[in-house]
Parts: sequence; structure tokens; C-alpha cells
Amino acid sequence: MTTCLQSGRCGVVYNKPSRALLSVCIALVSTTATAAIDSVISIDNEWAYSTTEKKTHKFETTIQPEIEIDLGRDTQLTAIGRIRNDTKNNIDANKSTDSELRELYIETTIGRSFLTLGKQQIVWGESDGLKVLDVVNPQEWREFILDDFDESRIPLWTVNAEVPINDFTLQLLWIPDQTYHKFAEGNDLYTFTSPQLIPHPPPGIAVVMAAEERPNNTFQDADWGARLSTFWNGWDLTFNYLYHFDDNPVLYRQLSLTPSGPVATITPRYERSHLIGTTFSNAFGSLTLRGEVGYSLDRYISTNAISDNDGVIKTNELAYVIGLDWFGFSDTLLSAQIFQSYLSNNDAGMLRDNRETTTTFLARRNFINETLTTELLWIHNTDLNDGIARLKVSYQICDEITAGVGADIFYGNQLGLFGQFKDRDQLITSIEVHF
Amino acid sequence: MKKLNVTTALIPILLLTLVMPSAFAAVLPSGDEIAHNINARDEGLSVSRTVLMEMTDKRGKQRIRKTRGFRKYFGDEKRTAIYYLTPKNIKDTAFMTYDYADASVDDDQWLYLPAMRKVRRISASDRGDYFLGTDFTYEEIKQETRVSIEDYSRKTIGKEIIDGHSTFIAESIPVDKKTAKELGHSKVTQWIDAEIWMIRKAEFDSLRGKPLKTIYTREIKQVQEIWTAHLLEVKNHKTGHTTKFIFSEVDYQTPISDDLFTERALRRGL
Repeated sequence: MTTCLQSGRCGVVYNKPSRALLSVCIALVSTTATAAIDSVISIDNEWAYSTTEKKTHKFETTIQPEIEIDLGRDTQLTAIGRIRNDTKNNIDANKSTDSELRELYIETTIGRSFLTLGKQQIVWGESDGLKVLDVVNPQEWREFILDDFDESRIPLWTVNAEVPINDFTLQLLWIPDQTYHKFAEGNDLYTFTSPQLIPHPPPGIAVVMAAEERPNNTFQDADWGARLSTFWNGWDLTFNYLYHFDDNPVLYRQLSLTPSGPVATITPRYERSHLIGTTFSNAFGSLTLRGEVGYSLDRYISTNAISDNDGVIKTNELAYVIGLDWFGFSDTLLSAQIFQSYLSNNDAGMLRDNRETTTTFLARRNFINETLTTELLWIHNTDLNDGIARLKVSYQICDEITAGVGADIFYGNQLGLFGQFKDRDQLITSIEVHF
Repeated sequence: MKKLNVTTALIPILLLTLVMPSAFAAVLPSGDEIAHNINARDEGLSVSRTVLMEMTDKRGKQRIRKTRGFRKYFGDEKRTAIYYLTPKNIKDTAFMTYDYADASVDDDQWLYLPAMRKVRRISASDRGDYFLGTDFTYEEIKQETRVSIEDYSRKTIGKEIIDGHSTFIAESIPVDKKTAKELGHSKVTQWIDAEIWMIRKAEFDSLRGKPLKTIYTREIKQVQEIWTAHLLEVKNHKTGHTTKFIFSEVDYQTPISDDLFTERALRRGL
């Protein structure tokens, strides 16, 4: 199954290793004589109403069946599917219904080691709502950042081994799955328009999009990763390394002069990057300190400078998130984070500044024995003074049913990541059923 | 007949009144002795059990969670892990705590939330907060049927028969306001079984001195020669909410892997 988009930003691809891993999963299941089965179906309906456009943004129902089969000998198969239907066709202008096999993996133990084989999510990092190291899996930007990461992360076919070594755990990843970010596009509700993200050629230059060049060699183009984690003197520590293709395509530009005038040919191409990082967390009284730092080699940033040969600037990036969680009031969490990213290069014309700063603030309080939860999440970019405030109240009617209401309020400059959606403010009602 | 002088007659009564409290106290162990006896009770080096958590609000609406709990001593350090098995919406949630012998060292606590797919470090200082929607606090989950020695000053105030068992009544007051605030109560009155040193009943007063909640320990039976409570019930007098912990499949003998008390295990689940 392939759902590549015209822009070259691709969705789900089953390639050779994917099929190989799928075959292993099926073989393991078929050899099982008896198996204990546990299943759950979650149905989630969300209605989002635009307060600026006075119309329904979405009326979406998501059905997510999940099955776990205990295969014995400490081995388990998990399969998670998802069927989504939006009757309004706003989120994705081209289709109202999509369905996919979200995850399919076998978990087993070999001695004291864990092995997870199949299509799965790998979550690194300590931050909430911001990503520095949580980049092993690409992301679906269909609803910008409004979806939970668990929903927007695109699971990949992966071999994931966790090996205990004395007081450490070594996680090794091999990801022969060439699937990258999937962006909203065209008339989709959350298509990026900010010139800070999308290069805009000067007036008078025509643009031609060339075919995307994506990695296609199963072994040569596989991603590799390793994480060493430990608990040391009260600190949870990890040391991470990922050799991967950046999930954002690099938009190479070639200028040419044709009889009809100057033309910029844009060729999306995925490039390799090394990511080295660390995470840490510890509790001090009512405070929890957590953070993550990542240093990426060979990032490529688009430039509007006509003088630049290929329209991109090669640079390195240092990014970090520091977060503080405060539990000083009963049943209450107050959490603040600062995210900063620095580029080693600062050439004129680069689409983004060489320093970016984003702050987040979260206040959450539980009532009535954790059946009622209120939450405010505020994300603010200090460079462009844009951001989003998200309010949510949810009530657990019973173990199976949770209802919620909320609001998403964007603000700021149209140039900004958040400000570009400032006419997308919405009120939301939701109901989740698990059975 | 010699007339009895009223003053002379009152003297022995007064003396008896003065002597009685100390004489009565002499037959009762001190609050600290009782606390040490409670904590000296054998609870095994490790235990695994299934815990059904029944939570009922004042209107009778019930929520039920099935968990598998593990506790193991690593020297003087106690590690506890609780894995949620049902209901579907919170399945795979897991909680772990490392309780250190040195009381001046804060516990380390972690919570795995499957919706985030992350193990989060949580503060151990909010020990008076209620544990995941129950009427037990994090501190009570950690202590199980034991007591914190350093958090209270204690005195024994009497004896009483509870459910047919002889008990000592002990009153525990948090050592200072800060501790009281952390624990979420200003006084605990406990009825402790005089034979097996198990707390059979405990009444808590709020920080304002009003009735807060009562914990009952019931169905105390021996499992592999260790006295084990099979039902803990708490009634919250402020909210009308009740929580029952029903223990089954209690096992003190089958070895528990050290790996179960790791972040890695929390993420993976049972």
C-alpha cells in the first residue's frame, strides 16, 4: 500500500523489509496452538466548530480496534487498526474516510532481553508537546499539533531490542521503513502557509516541482538507533544516537532561464542526519526536573537567497527542552517548559532564524476522584509572539465512557508556525467509548 | 459505729484516681512500641498479588480496576510496582516506587501512562494525594499495613474489642505542620490487633480536625504463614466516596524477578 502525495511527502509504505517483518509476525502466530486473546475497541467522536468561520471544522468518528494475543512463552502479538471518517472533509480535503493497520508487532523475551518486532512506535525524550529526541517515528501533520502524539506518530516497521547490561539498558533499533512525515496539503484545513516554513520564490520566477527523490534501498537506507538508559543517584538518564533520514524533505532549488522566463525547479530529497542526545529527570521535593538535549549533524534549511546555488543551507542544530513539574497543590500539576534550537549557520535568506525559542505552560487539576479533569496548555513562540492556548474539560461518565469539551485558540503573526492558523480557532466536544 | 469522716473517705479515692492512669498505662504498650511491633510483623521478602480496586461514589456509581501488584525488598530498600490490567481505558498504566531505608531520602516514584507511552518521574512529596482516583493516599499505598515511624508522635489511649479481636487504641499526631500538610491529615486513631499487630481500623482527621476517612482492614488470614489482609476498605467522610481493595492470588514464595521493578518493565507491562 502506498499513499505518496504529489508533493513527495509520503504516508504509509509497505516495502520489502516491512513485508519480511510482517511474514515473521504471521509465522509466529500460525505456529501457536492455543492463545489467550484480549481485545478492545475504542470509538471516539469529535465535533470541532470554528468560532471564526462559524462552521463545523470536523465531525470525525475514529474506530480503533486493538487485539492482543498471548502466544505463550512470554510472547505476545499486538495489532491496532484505525478507521477514521470525517463527514465534513475539511481536515483532509481529498477524502473523508481512511483506514490503516496502525501497529502490528510481536513482543518476546530472550533471556532478560526484550525483542519487539514489527510495526510500532518508539518514543524517546522527556518533553511534552515538543520534540527534540522523539523523532524516531515520523509524524502526521494532518491536524497540525492538535492530535495526541500517540495518534499522529506514524508507526514504522522496526526491529527493537532492549538488552540489560548491569545497571544499564541498551536499546538497539533497526528501521528498514522509508516512511516520512505526512503533511496537510492543498485545501486541507492545516496546510502550512507560513513563509518561514515554505519557500516562496521572488515574483517573476515560475516554480516547477520535480519528482521526489526518496531512499529506496532496504538495507543501505535503513535508520539505526541506540539508547543507553540507567538510573543513577536518583537520576533517570538516557544517552541516544540515531542515524536516520530527516523526516522533512530538503527542497533543493535549481534556477534556470527558459524562453518563457526564469524557472525554479524544486526537487524534494531526503537527507541523512546524525542525532546525538541525552535525557534526564529527577524529583526534588514537590518539583520534578526533566529535560532533553539533541545535537543534529547535517540539517538543511531552505533559503530565499537567489545567489545560493541549490536553495538550501547545510547546518548543524543544537536543541533542548528543560521542563519543571510542580506537584505542590493536591491533585494538581503545574508544568513549564522552555525549548530552544540553535543553528550553527546564520546565512542571510534562511527561512528560519538561527535561534528559536518556545515556551509551554500546563495546568491540570483532577476532581471527584480523578473522574473530572480540567487542563490548560499554552504554547508560545517568543520569537514571533505567536502560539496556541488549549482548554479541555473531560469527565469520566463510567469506566467505558468519557465526555469532553474544549477550545483551541491560535494567536499571533501569520508568519509563525501557530499564527498561520489564527483563523482556525475552534470549540470541541468529544465522546470516547471503550469496550 | 464510728462516723466516717468525709475527708478521710475521699483521700483513698483521690489517691486511686491519681494512681489509676499510670497503673492503666503500665499495662499498655507505648505508641512507639506498638508502631515498632506493627513494622516488625513478617510481611515476607517479596509478595505478588492481584488487587481488585472497587471505587464507589456517594450515588453508588462504581468503577472497578484489576491490578497486579508486586513488592520486594532489596536489602533495606522496598520496591513496589503496580500494573493495571483492566478496565480498557487505563489498561497498562503502571506505578513504581523505591522506598529507601533512610527516611531523609525522598522516595523515587514513576508512573507509566500508556496514552503518552512514556514513563514519567513523579514527585514523592505529594504523598497525601489520593492514588489514581482511590481513597488511599500514595503514602498509604507505599506503607501498605505498616506505619511511618518518623512522621508521628504517638500515644496509646486504651483497649477495645473490634470484630471480636482485642485491640490497642493508639493516637498518632504528625510531628509538625509541614508533615501534617504533606500527609493530608492532622490525626490518626488506630485500633491495632494486640496479637498479630495488624491495624484493624484507622480513623483520620482532616487538617481542620474534622472526620476525614476511616480505613478498615478485614479478612485477615494467614498465607504461607504470614498474616495477610484480604480486604482493605476506606470510607471518605468528606466525599461519601468509598474504595475497597480486594486481594487474591497472594504469593510470598514464588521468586519475583528484579527486572519487574524497572522503567523498562513499566513500559512493557505484564
